[in-house]
Amino acid sequence: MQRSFLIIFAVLSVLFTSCESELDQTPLSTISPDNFYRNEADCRLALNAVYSDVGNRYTYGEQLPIQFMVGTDEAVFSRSYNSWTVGLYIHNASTVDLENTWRTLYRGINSANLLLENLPDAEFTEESRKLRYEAETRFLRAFFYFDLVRWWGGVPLRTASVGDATANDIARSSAEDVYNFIITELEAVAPNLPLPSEEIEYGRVSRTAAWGLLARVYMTKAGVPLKHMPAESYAKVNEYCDLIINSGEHNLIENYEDVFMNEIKGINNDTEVIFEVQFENQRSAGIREDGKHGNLNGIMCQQKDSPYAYAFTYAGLSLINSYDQDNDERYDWNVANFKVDKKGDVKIQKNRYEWFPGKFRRIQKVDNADGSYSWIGLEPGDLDKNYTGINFPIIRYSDILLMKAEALNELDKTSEAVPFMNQVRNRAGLANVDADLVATAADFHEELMTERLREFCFEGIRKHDLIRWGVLVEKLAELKTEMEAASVASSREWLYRSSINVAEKHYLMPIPLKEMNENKLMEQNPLWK
Amino acid sequence: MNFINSRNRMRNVVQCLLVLVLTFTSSLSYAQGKKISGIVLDDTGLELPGVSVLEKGTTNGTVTSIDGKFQMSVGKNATIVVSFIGFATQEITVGNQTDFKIEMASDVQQLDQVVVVGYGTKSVKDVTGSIVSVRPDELAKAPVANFDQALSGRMAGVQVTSTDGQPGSGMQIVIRGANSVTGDNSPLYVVDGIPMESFDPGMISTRDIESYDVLKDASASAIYGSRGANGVIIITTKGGKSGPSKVSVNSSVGVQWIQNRLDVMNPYDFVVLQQEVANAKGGESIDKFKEHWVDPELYRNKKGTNWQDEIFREAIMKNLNVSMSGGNSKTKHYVSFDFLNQQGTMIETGYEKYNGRLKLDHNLTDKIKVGVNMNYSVMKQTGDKVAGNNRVSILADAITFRPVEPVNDDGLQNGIDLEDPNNMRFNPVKTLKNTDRQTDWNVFRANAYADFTLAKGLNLKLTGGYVSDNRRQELFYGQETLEGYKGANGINATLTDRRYYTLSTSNVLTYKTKIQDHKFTGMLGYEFSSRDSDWFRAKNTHMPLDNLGVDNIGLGEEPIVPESYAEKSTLLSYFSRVDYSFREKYLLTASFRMDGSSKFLGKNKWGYFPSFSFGWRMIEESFVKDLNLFSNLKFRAGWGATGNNRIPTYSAHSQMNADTDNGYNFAGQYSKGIYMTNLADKNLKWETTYQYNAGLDMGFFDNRLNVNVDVYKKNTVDLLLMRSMAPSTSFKSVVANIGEIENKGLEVAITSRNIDTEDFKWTTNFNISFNRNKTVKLNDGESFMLTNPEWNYKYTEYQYITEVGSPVGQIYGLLSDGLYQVDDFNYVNGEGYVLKDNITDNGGAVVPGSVKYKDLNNDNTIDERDRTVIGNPEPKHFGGINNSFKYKNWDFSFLFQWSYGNDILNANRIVFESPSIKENHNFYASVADRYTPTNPTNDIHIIRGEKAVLGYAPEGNKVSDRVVEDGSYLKLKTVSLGYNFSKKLLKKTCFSKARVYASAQNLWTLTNYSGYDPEVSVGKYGALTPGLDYSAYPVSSTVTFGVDLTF
Repeated sequence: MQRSFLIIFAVLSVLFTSCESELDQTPLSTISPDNFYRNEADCRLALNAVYSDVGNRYTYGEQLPIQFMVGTDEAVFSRSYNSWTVGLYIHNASTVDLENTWRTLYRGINSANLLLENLPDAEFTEESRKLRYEAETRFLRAFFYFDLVRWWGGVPLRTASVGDATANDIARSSAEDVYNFIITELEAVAPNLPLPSEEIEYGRVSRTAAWGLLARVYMTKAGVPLKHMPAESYAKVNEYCDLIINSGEHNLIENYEDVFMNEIKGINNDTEVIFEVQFENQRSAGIREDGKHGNLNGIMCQQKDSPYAYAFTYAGLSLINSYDQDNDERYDWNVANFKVDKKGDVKIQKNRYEWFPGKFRRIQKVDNADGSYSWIGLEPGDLDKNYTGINFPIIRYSDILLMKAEALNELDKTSEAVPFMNQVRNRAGLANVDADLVATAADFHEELMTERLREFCFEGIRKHDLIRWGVLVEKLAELKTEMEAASVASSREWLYRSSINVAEKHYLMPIPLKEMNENKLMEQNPLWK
Repeated sequence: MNFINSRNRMRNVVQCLLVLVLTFTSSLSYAQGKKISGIVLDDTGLELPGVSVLEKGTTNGTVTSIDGKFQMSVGKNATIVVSFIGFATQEITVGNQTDFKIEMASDVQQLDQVVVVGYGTKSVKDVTGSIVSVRPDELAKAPVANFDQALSGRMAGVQVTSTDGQPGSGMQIVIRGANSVTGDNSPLYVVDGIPMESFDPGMISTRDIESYDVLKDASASAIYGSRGANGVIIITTKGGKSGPSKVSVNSSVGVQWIQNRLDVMNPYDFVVLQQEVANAKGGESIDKFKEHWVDPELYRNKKGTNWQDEIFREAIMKNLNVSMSGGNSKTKHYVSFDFLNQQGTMIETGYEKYNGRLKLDHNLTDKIKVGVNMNYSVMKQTGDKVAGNNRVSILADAITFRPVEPVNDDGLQNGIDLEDPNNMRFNPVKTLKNTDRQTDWNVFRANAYADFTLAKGLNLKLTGGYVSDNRRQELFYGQETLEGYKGANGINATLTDRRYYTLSTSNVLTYKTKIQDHKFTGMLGYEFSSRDSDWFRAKNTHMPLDNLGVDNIGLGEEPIVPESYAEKSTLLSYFSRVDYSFREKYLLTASFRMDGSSKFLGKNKWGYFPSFSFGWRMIEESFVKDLNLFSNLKFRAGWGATGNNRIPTYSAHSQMNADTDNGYNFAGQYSKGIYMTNLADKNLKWETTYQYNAGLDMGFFDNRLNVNVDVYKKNTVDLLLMRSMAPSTSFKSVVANIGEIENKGLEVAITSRNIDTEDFKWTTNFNISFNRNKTVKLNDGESFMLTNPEWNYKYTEYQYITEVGSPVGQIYGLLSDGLYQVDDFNYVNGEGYVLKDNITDNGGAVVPGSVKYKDLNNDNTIDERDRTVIGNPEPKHFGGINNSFKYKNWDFSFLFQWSYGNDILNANRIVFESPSIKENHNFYASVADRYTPTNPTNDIHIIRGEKAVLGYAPEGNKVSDRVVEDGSYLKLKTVSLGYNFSKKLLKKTCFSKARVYASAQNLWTLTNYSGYDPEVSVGKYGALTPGLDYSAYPVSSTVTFGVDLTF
């Protein structure tokens, strides 16, 4: 009996000691941040995720360039109900769209911070690759901050990753500090980024993208509401535009519509686009790296199993009226006067104020010999009803030309500015701008504002332009006047609700309510208190 | 038996168990003395085999033979102790008598009952905590698929409610109120000594249950430490008994049905509505109406189709149970097989299960007992999920489908334009017939034990257990489903495999001794369990054929990226308990457990759970005895700490992962991306519940009337809660220990043997429970938490609030103020109705007949600031009363169960009582009496008023107290009538027992609730969203007939 005791206790004691170590369990199907970022392959996966947040539905996949951008003279919301609150200027701090976009931009920032903290210890075979990864990551982080500061003003500047709940509370930095951070970062990393001609993968951040973004950042901070060191800033805009123009890396491609046809068809050797967000139709395989371009803001197409488009926006009447409709090649592409109905028939929209934005379109109208119409789909791949693979340009060469023109004009060099505007006009099939229209710097500015509308409509640029020029409220009032003049039926007055709702406070967004509630150091924007 | 012998045997155990079993020889020795013999009969006068007859104070004993006879030698002046489970133990002084006729009386005196207390058993009279038991034979009387469905109303303090009536879905069991806010509140199941994670009641046959005990208070459940906070349900399964082999067969067949239908508009009212909608829309719609429907009068008295009748049916439930048991003093066996087939009352749904079990107990020597217990369960749940889909719903389709077809065909299928991409409805019959959803469980459970008597009073029990639980889910959408017809995936199939493996060992050393008036029991234990689980999912879409279902998913043309996941958690525990009693008058129990869990990090892995309790058997005091009032009186009091570790396995670890939307395309080439998916609080620790309990057990009239009263207060601190994070951290929430919840309550249980004669017995069991739940603290500085139950994606407003100082999960919304009437407006020429200055709008444009709410903050509009608490789903009290009668060979019992004072959010009415200008949509019958200019009611709003203003409330302002209803009910839960054939009659047959019976479940309900059934709660977020009814599978009524045979 004594021996059996011994055996039992021997067995038990073995069990005891072996089990104690069994209490240390780590996740089996997920990765711990402590065991990641070991080498280039790991860091590449981490960097992909940072890129992904540029193309997220709450950033450039849908929200920023579509829902947030509607409600200017380029486009209006086409439904009578009130769902796109930001575009209708009826949003407030509790609008969930704001929180989602804010959170996603910060997610990109957090992923970038984590990668930047771990990159130094990762093993790379080539040190230059590590330098490039770092440069891409810092570019993207600056890019996220640029959207935050443009929409919200000064925001919390998180430059270290969130390690635990103690990182929750953080105060806002001033808008000026955020701009300084963005500029310092971009200027520091630009030399480490390759030129597009050296670039292997189309879609990655290049040196010209950093220069282009710098030009846009300087341009924006020189405008409303910050008006920070305008003279110096415009000089910087000019400087960075020149770097791109003189690099020989980019040019205007011959046909305006080809720029967008390339985006729709996923053609990746475009020399006009300096930086773009890439999307792909892969939903059938369960991958969600697609966007809503052409679906929410395209030409309405209601047939089942077609390149479907809800078309929640109409092209603004101001935009339609701004074109020289006989000569401007951009007019035919950017505005579409037809839709495809449930039966698949092409229907012409009789009211001008019910025409669709045509820039990111899924379908093309075909004129048949007998005078009837049919249509063809443009997107390649396996189509989804709700999502598209249409790529979205962020910075194009024509923007560099027009930014340079604008900067020169602001620096009182109007005559030097005119040729750059003309380059853009000529490509669109227009003659040089009438000298009368650009006689003074003020005239030039007036013309430039319209030129930018004609050139960049629906590209996520217009509202930022109107804000930095300080004319958002004014331009929306003009839109209302134009719509009234076009005698929009009284039952459809709601089409220009945005013009009635817009106010001074809409130059900035309110800080999301959830941020206000959870972050004890946060302060609301003054006009939203 | 001598020492050498036993040592040799011990060695053999280690070396070769099997050989030993085969070569084992008996070595019973008989005490010398006087020979006695006798016969033991049961209370009906039938011989009782297998009864233990023991000479008191010795190990000398025997069991009765098949004809109830026994023979033994006893010492001089001996007393024999005759005992058998289910009967009162008798002590008989032998004296000069040599031949005995002993009649056993059924044991109804609870005091002599034994309860399982966790790692041991205790006599009821020694219990100091709060433990409640249910008699398994009572459970077996209810005609239900799984035992949990028979539990409601039977135990004080144990709230058992069905979430809905889907066959095979489990009941929600909450003991003494919910502790956890965002966590799981279901109790821990311990089956045959093995604590079970993810236990499904279907895994055990009701008829295999020997005892069912619930540990309610912390002084009882603290021995289960980190898993004891929600209470513990201990199930012990039947084993073989000494005596001749016994075969029992039970077979029953029953029918189930749904008692009521929701009233929808009849064809005439429906067509009148279509006419009104057409007129409101104008233009084409009016022409279409005239062309197809022509005139409502054509549909008067037309029968039409009630789509609910198309999807519900009378369903059959069949059950067969066979068991065989027997054994001798060495080896006992129990084998059983259980089969159940339950058709669902909704077509194409159902539940099927098979349970096979083998239990063997063997005495290797008189000091070593070994045994195995194996159970294999196969379960199959079929049928589309009825509740919980927030976009499409079979019940919503059945209610809104048009009840009648137009006289002139409009080309639509039952009113549905299938080509309309925005249509989300589909023929519910086709949906049910062409959706194959099936979950298969294959669960194997086995445990083995060895019990060593090391010395007198010293026992070591080693137990090892293994559970392998495989669940496979098939989901196939055929052509004729919404998904197959027009979904993005076309005809598609998904296969999901989940596996759980649990390995556990539990080793307990017990020492019992008695020194004069001092009784002492000490227990020391060690337990380890490890749980692995994983899942794998494969999905293929756009299948060209729809007749092979999931059996060839390779046919699909666009496979979805496959997914898999694995996790492992371990738990290591040490525990001990000490019971001490003095003169059986003063009882003390103390227990302590420490648990180490892999879910936490560093020193937080270990949690410590003490408990103390005290009992005073006042009946032993002369001053109580002298009162001549009580036959039993005991006071109990206790305190203890228990834990809850039910959080996702890796909550304390920050994790990185790749999602399907976190990659990127470079030059059109897809690359995966990995990012931080969740942030962890590294200091995460146990959620701890401290509970006080005090109870009084009273017996009157020779214990014919027993009253138990318990009061308790429990506080759950360090609540494991999702702590909200600032969006600028990029994380939504972190699991953290914050908040505190309090539950306090009173429970009364009364058992009364009203009549107790030879021929007629009447017993009543009554219990009532009062629990008050209170949120004491939430997230730092947070005074409330709002929840959107997400029952439908269109109604995205907060509908529940958890507020400090109030119960968790109260219903939250606007206060209804009827409808706007003409008086609320001034009529202005050219402008129409303009709201008077002091009258609020409803958040949108209003006209006479629009929905009106109370403007709580007096700002003349309605928004989120006008929301308030509009209902409390916590019942004021709940309970049950069971009456059992026995008259000669007849037995009859019925159980009433109630819940009082709980509110239900009847979300169905938000959708089905709000008419709109949607064509071909039917609504509740009440909509026929909606507001029109000629019928200015104050209840159902106008469809559309002037200036095309719709009558319903704007988005975000839909939920009001109008749809909050009193969910109180009284249910005739179970009725059972049986006839036992007399022994005389059976003498000529091979049967020793035969009973035929009829029983019924959910036969009758008294309630004011307007939905199918007040017993409903389909909220997604547990304790945060109780009492929600939307598209729930209604609970069925059942009547079965069956026969019980033993031979």
